[in-house]
Amino acid sequence: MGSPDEAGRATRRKFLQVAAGGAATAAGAGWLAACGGDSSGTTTAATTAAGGGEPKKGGTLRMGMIGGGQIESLNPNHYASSIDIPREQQIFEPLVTLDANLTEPVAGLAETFEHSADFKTWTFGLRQGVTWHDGKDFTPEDVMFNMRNWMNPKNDGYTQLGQYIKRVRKRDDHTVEMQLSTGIAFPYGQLGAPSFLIVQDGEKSFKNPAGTGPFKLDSFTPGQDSMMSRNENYWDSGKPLLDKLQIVSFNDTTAQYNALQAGKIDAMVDMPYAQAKAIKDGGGSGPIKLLITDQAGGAQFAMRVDVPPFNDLRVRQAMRLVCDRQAMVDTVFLGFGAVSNDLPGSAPLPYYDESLPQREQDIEKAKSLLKAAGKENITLTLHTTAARVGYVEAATLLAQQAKPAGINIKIKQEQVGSYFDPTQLAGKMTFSMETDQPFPSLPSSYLISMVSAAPFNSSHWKVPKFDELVTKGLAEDPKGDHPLWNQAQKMLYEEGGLLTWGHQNFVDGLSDKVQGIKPHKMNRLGNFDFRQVWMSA
Amino acid sequence: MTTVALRGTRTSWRPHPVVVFLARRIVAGLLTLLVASMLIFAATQMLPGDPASLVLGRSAANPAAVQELRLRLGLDRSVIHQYLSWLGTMVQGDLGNSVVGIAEGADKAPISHIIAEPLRNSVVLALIAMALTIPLTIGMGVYTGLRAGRPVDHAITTVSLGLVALPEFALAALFVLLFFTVLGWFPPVALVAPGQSPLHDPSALVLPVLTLLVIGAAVGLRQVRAGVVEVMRQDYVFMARMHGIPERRVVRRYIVRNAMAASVQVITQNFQYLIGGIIIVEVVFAYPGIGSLLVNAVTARDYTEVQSISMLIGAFYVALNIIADLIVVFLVPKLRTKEMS
Repeated sequence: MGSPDEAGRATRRKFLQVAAGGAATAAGAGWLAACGGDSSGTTTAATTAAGGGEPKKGGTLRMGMIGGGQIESLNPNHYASSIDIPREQQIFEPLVTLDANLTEPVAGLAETFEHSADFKTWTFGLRQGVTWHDGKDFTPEDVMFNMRNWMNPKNDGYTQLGQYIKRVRKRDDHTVEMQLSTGIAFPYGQLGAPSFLIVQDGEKSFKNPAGTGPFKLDSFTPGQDSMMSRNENYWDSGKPLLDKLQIVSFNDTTAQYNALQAGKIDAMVDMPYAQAKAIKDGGGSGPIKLLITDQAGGAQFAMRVDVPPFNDLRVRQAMRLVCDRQAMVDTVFLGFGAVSNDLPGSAPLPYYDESLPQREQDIEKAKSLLKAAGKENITLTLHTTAARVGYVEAATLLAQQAKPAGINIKIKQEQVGSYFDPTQLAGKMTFSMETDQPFPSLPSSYLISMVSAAPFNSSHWKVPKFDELVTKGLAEDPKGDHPLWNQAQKMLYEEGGLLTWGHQNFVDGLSDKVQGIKPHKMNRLGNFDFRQVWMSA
Repeated sequence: MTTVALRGTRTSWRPHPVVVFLARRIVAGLLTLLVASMLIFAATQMLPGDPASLVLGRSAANPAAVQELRLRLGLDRSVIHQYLSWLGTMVQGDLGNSVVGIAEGADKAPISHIIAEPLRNSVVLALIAMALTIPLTIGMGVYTGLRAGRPVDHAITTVSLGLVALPEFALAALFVLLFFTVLGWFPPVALVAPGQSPLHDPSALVLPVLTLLVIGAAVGLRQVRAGVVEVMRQDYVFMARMHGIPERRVVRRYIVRNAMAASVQVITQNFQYLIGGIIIVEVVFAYPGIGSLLVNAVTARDYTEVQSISMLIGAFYVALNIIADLIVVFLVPKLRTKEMS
């Protein structure tokens, strides 16, 4: 028995834990399965296989995630809310996707994928014996319907790939050929992204869609809940193991976390770092495991290069030099992440240039740059929003770090609705914040947010030479030298408008009953691949 | 009396005073709703972001696509035109279509379908909360009122003052901490799958109901107590006691009965509070009711849904007030003559 004093401290500690993270762990419980990425950047995380025994069929996995209300949909052509992705990825499947480290292609509905020497013609050998949930056969017509969808500028697939598709044709009953206007050597990041999931020929309403995926849709109420059951005719026989999959939309992270603790859900996407840290520090043997995935997408400040004061390169570079990235990672992510180098992506993604030195804080150099630019004691307005975890904290910390260099940053909090709406504030703010994830590949990300025509080019970085490097670089073989990609990255590193300071881990919470989830850099909860997931008793 | 003298002449026939009173109240209620509709419409116009770009998501960066969808949703019409057409459908009892549903390509997305189940869930939660709150409020109000100034009264009124000052979400978090994290008695969330009865797991409803109950009762009992204390000061109570009428009878016949008029108002206010409180409580406990739906609709910029739910809540408020006024009028004869004249 402890002394009253000890008991008092324990109670207070418990209360503080709770206060720090809603109703955080009771009784100091919580077990960190494993964590962190190793120095090579490969994904490591929870060894969920610890215990549990042999995989077995049956059971229901109940997954909770912050939802999007009535806007939630099952249409992969239009990204509406992030909870759509796990739903769509059970019903539909990609032609080709990427492995857990995002370095090697993995066959999906296309069993084979071959390219011409110039990477302009791609031939997909379709998997045979695949049927849709409504019993129809999966055919080349289905694939061609999708490719034509991608070619439609109104759909999400256009920017990343569709704009380069010249022609699609059926070579035989199991083969589709895609001809591109420019060679694309590493299209797997695009093809594995949610916008490129293969839907059935003619599908338009997406109210009760048939897919080829491991789970069939039973019911779906946007903003609330979806229920799916095992596709007994799934092509990968024996999979999936689960009978049912329920995906619940939450409005509130604390409620989501409480639901996990109470066993009302088995998996939660995006556990707040405070709770995750409490579990990690607790180190006990509680009922909640963490799945920590090192991922490549960056957290960044975007400086518009086309308007003052950031149209002066020296001001941009000064901003990049005032930032203490490790302090940001430690404070904002509570250590669940790593520093970034003002570039999209991270090693070992194909094309990523590791040779550029890690940028470090250098207040004196920043001061001298500002002096040279005649911008000493400059005042900047940084737009942020409380609706994203860590944004206000990151903005506040940057403001503190910038002070010694004579930069006065005023923080302006914006409404979430207008902050991310391209018809309102998004893309128009001079100095703003964004999170570039999920991050499937450099080509995919650069086409969405870095080139002149990119719809999410928040720093307004529009440099013809850069565009040319990227477009031609698409045809560079990632296995060989890729000088064009290196030049493009060097330009961004030296002149770009992004202060990319860190990439945060995906931190998900799992009940100890959930077995077989393997971390995947593409997205949370092992890229929501539940085919091999099973529930132990 | 003049009414008696005039009785019998057809031209001077007057409806029953209570009917006049009711008609006046209904007209005033409708006017209130009309003003409310303007305010609600104006408020939704001010919601940042528009549904067209939100539904289009990433493609919202394509101005042509946004424009096309805005046309289809009728967002290009003047604000007055949009307001009148919405009001027109509401007057016909039609809650209209969810603008997000239409934007996502559906021909029809009736709001009445979308809200049916959440509305049922909220009504269940509210009725359970009220069924417990009303007797508790009146019981504790009378109990403390009769013991005004004594330690037990001080204790209860002080605690209730503290609870009144607590916002719902804080109290809910405290209950979760106490009853789930520490004691492990009740679940901290009240998930209900679509098609499932909210009563499938009664234990899940305990904490949401308790939160609504405690705050509702804390507010109400203070008002009932004040009513009792005031009645106790009246001459007729003094006289009744002077006449040697037994104290139990004085309490029952003279004090409680007269304090009931105030209690009806308290119950009305309780219901009104419940509408606001339930929105927060539903979100905290992830309970899929009308409150969660409203928050979702705001998040999704589904302005037609926000408007319709808000109008329903407004109509409920107005109806509640009319009913409460009527009950009070029937309960207190003195008030009846005053109101009618």
